Amino acid sequence: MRKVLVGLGLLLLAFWGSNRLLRAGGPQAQEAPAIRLAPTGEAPAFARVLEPRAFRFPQDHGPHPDFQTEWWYYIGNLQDAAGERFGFQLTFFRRALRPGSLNRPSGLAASQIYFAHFALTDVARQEHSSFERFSRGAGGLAGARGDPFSVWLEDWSVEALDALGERVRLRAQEGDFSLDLVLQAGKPLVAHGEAGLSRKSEEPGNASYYLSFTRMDAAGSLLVEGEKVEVTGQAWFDHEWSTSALGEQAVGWDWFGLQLDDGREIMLARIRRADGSLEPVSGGTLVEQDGSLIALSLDDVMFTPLGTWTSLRSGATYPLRWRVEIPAYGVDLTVEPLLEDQEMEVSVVYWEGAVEVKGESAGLPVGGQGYIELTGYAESIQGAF
Amino acid sequence: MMSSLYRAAKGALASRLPGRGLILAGLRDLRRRPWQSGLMVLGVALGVAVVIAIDLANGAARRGFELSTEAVVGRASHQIQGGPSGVPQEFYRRLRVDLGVRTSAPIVEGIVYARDFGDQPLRVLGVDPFAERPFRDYLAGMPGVSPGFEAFYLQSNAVLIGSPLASRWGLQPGGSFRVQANGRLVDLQVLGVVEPAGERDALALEDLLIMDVAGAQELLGMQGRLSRIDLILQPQEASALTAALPPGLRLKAASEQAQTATQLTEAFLLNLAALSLLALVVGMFLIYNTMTFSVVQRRQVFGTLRVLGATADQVFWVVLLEAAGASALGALLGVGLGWLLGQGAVGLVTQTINDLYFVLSVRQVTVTASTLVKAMVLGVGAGVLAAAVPALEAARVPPVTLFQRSSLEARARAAVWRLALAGVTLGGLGAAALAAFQSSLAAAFAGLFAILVGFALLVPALIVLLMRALGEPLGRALGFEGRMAARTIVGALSRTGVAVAALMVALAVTVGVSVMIESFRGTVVNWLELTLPADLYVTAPTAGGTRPSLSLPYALKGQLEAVPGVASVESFRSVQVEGPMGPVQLSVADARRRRDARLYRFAQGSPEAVWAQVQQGAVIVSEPFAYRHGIPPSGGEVTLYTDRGEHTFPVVAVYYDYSSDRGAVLMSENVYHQYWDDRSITSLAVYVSPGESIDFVADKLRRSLAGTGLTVLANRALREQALRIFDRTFAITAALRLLAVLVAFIGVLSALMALQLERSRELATLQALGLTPAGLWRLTLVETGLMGAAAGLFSWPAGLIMAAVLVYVINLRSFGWTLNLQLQPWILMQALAVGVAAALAAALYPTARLARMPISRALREE
Amino acid sequence: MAELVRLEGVIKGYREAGRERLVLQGASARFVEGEVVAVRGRSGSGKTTLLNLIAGIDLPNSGEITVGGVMLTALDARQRTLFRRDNIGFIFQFFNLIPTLTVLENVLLPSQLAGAGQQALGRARDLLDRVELLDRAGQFPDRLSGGEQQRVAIARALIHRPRLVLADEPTGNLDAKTGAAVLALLDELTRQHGNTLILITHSRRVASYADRVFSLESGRLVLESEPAASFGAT
Repeated sequence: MRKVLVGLGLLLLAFWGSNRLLRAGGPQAQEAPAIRLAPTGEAPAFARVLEPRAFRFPQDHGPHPDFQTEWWYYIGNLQDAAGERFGFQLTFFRRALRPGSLNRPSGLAASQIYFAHFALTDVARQEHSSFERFSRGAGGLAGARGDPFSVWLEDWSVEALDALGERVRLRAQEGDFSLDLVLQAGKPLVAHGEAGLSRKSEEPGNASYYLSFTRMDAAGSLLVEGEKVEVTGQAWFDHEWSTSALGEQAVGWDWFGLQLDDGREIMLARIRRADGSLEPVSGGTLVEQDGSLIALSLDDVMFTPLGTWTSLRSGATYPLRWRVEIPAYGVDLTVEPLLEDQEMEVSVVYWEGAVEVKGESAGLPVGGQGYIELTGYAESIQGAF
Repeated sequence: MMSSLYRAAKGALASRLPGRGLILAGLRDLRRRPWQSGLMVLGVALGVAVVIAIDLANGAARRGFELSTEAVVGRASHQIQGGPSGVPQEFYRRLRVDLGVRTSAPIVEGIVYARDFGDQPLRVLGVDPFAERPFRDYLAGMPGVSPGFEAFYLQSNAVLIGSPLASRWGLQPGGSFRVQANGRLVDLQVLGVVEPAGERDALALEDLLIMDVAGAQELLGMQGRLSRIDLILQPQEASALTAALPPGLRLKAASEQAQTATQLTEAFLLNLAALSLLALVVGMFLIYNTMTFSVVQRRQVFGTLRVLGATADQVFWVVLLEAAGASALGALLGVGLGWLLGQGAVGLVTQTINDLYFVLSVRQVTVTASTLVKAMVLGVGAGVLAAAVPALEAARVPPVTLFQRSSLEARARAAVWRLALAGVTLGGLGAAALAAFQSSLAAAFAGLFAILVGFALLVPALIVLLMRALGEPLGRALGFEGRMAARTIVGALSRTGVAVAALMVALAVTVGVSVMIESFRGTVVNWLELTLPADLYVTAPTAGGTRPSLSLPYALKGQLEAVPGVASVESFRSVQVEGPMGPVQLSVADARRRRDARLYRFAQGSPEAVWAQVQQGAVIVSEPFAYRHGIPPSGGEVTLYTDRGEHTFPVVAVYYDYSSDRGAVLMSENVYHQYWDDRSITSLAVYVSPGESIDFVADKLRRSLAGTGLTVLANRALREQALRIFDRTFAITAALRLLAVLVAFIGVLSALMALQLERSRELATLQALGLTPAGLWRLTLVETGLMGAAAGLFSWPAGLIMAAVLVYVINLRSFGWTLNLQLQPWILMQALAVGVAAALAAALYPTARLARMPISRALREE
Repeated sequence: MAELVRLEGVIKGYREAGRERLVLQGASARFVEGEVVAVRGRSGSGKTTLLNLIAGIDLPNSGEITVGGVMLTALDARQRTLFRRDNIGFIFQFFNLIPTLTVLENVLLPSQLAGAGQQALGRARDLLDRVELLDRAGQFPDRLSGGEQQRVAIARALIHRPRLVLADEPTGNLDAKTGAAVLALLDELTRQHGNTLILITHSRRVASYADRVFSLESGRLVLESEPAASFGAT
């Protein structure tokens, strides 16, 4: 569910942001010409998420072009043979310009726009690097496919290595950084919310289909500042699609994807509103060792921010340290970033990074790791709403 | 010490520079002859105006071209190009995805014609907004994805246009207009109007239609192909990429691209500039003329000044300063006038560039500081240069207070033969320069100027000879006035010689340029007959005159051949390809029909043999091409980059062609298809079956072509269209010629008017002695008429020599084509008529003034 | 008194119709500072030639001409022009005022030629006042009568304090009465300023103003009359 918000926000703002950056930057920064556009016609009729659906795999790992928005999110914690720790993020976003497929003579004609983020965290060096790309979903430049499952934007890609799309290869490279990992789902697919239908507000249709592999074994290699390292670790995969807009009140969100050593995983999302309150549909999913799911509502969870960090680049102050309590399931955790500066330097600035988890689960001491995502803290986002 | 030094320096300076009084005397003298001074100023103004107008227009055209190139190239350092069919789209994917070259942008370009707006050509620039970022500033405002912008990607007819274009055509966002795009008519929709951020952007957007790359492919029928790929590369990246290119694709530096295109128009612009200088040269004669007059008239004053202690230097400078003052005023006026003329000239220049070279849209001329400086330097420089001889003459005036006019005239007559010798020498040097520097265009123009000036120096001698010959017959025909007129002209040679020479030069320029244009036109008419033999031609209507850059489907040929009454259809393809020597215009012709043998300038073997070789892979090249690239009459070859890689084609003939001054290579269609993937057609020629009505078949063809926007033209109409474009091409030359005539007219008016005013006392004496008013009129009109006629007559040989140089030397060196010199008698008659008319007009005011004035007063006149 | 002009065996001829015609055939004379000398002779006797030689406008075929100690015959044309500019005032038969300059500007011209423009303004006004034309200073010469024009010319000749004033038939173009008035003025002004005046005339009456009168006969200067204290002429 959190990714719905992230995705929507990014999609709406990404190009606003990119243009803003472009106007400000470049060696020959000059006033960019303004464009007066023709008035828009009726909004295109995209499919909406109204009721749970029967998923088919691997097809449903692929794109759903009748819905406006879709993304594939891979994040994870890795370490090399010497125990040095790394974090990675590789995300693909799809934005439809209109529903359905095109029937045009030009192979470059596009009804889908793709963009992607790639980030690596090097804990030992205390460095985080992030990259962003855009492309039309045409001409083989970017796209997604269900069978066999794959998503790619130029040479950043996800490719299924098995028929069902539970084993995938991730590849991305930019400058002195690259990633080449094989991920194998270690637990069954999680369908969040009501059998995969994740509500974002009480209004029907304001929802997404949200699927996850909450624990995937990862192995492969990274190139970090030109240095190649062999790594293994645990990854997390989110896939979500919808046709919904963000509520007017929402100003940002905090998302947690935590993998505990006792075999549990916890997904939590809290949507912050302008008045300081939280969206009532905030909540999450607790995945037991055996893969059984427990839906969590806002009432089940207590969030306590423990400390903040201020980015010198964006000026944003992020609550990076948290205490998360789910008393009904004996969960009391502190969440600590592996590195403070894991801010994403992309069109719309947000914080997404690897974290360490300590505390109790089912009343027993537990450790763990995960990723958290914090949006709406940079001023630019506030202004954009 | 210092002060004595200062005084010494001041004293030394004082002996060279004219004092205030002298300058005042000089300037007041200008004021006392408002007619002459005014005409002198006007002469300079017109001369400068013409140069400035052409300079502004050329500058605007160059700048417009640079900007539009810059606009299209943006910050790209390199481009990947292919043959006429472009770059496979798949290679772009490979480049970006497999080779990881991400500062790359796909471009689809082409020309469409705005049917709703006078078929104005517009450049289509198909881009990918996501790849554009590093390249083009004016596209930076594209919102990528935002509400309302989806249509940019989704609608194949959505375009962005610049606000200047939008306001010119009254288009709003959401509006639409129709264009001819290759063989189709398409309604384009204005998705957005781009507000340019600056003047640069405004010029860049002047004639640009910005589309999504996919929409542009569909509009131009280029599915699967790109026109080029723009890149920003470091040198080492470039060399690495060159190695990775498949055959048929080439990596070029963007600067190289812009250069070759500017070179196209350089000869044309240089010719215009040189012709505009001719107007200034005529203006210089005018200044020379006026200053000589005023010096001659003031000999008495200068003599007195010399007696009073004025040094020769001081007298020299005072005359020069007078000329400089008048010229500066003229130059200032000239800038203003030039700016006005420039507004018109820029239209003519860009029209010609559009007709002959490439689509260019320039509407503004900008007067920069450098324009002003240029005008002042040219105007004052020309004025001072022209006044140098009269100033020397003034400085040579001895410190004597009483002059015998007759001694001056005696000296003038004595100088006639020396001048003639100098003229012959100068003309000879000019001719030698023409012969010696075979390939230099500048030397050709310098030689031409030298010949012209040399001829002008011959004029006094010619006058003496002519008047000697005419004296008796005139006396018999007109009595006293006739004899008197002929004698006066020789008697006042110091004045008449200059005036007639100035008029002669001006008229010669018009004769030369007119004969050149007519020769060119006649040559083209003949050539069109030979080169357009088919009955009907199918092409896009191009009211703008731009050479159609169409890409019609090959299937059209079969479609038209199936029309009843059609005997055969020949396809023609005109494309630009590349070779080691740069861009090459390639004409691809249906191989079935042999070229007319008269089209060959040099051929290896019979026309049949030539054509047989062409069908087997040889090419023939046009005359300008052979000239430009030094292709010998036999044994030449042309290397081109084909889609199969580099290939060398033997050249078996050189043919006459006047369609492109860059020259063209003609290749048979079957050979072209063997080496290039492009299957498009530019135009079609239709032969009607014998016995069929051409009009009837044309009607059937039109029906078959319904909806394509293509027109069917009879060969006569196509020839007429070609000639219309030809005439438009020379419109600016004709305008220059007209201005030269105007300057000449003013010159002769001023010279002869001064002459007549000066003779007031003499004529009054004649009147006192019994000359009737009618006799006075007869005398002055015969006198000036004789001078005008003399100038007209002398302009014939000078003009014809100039025409010959223009036709056989300048045109060859500029454009490389052979023209047949053709003489139209009306041109000579016109020169004579202009000369006589100007001369007669010049006599009107002074004679009328004199006729009204009491003789007693006229007798006292200075 | 100091000698100002010395002519020593001056011979000057012109080539006419291919034949040399000698105008001056060994003219010699000495003129001293402050005296008024008249040179008389018939038309064509070489009066103007003599004047041109003294002014350095022309050079003799042989002989020496010294003015104020400077041997003109040893100077080049430019040096002679500068010498003339600074030392000699000129008055012509036909006035030769510059038509495009005002009366005042005409008077100022010689000093301006020497590069000293406006300093001479006061003196020019003085001189114009003396010739009674100050009220017409701003007018152009063609508005003046002949006598007035010649008075302007006198002022012009004196503006730069020349040591020597040369007058070539100054009254030749004036009626008798006006001529007399002009002459009286010229005589008065030159004597007052201590200038040397050489008058060329064909008229005895005009010559009577002079201290000494020479006549040109057969190309030589012959002393006709002189006051009591005489200076020789050979």
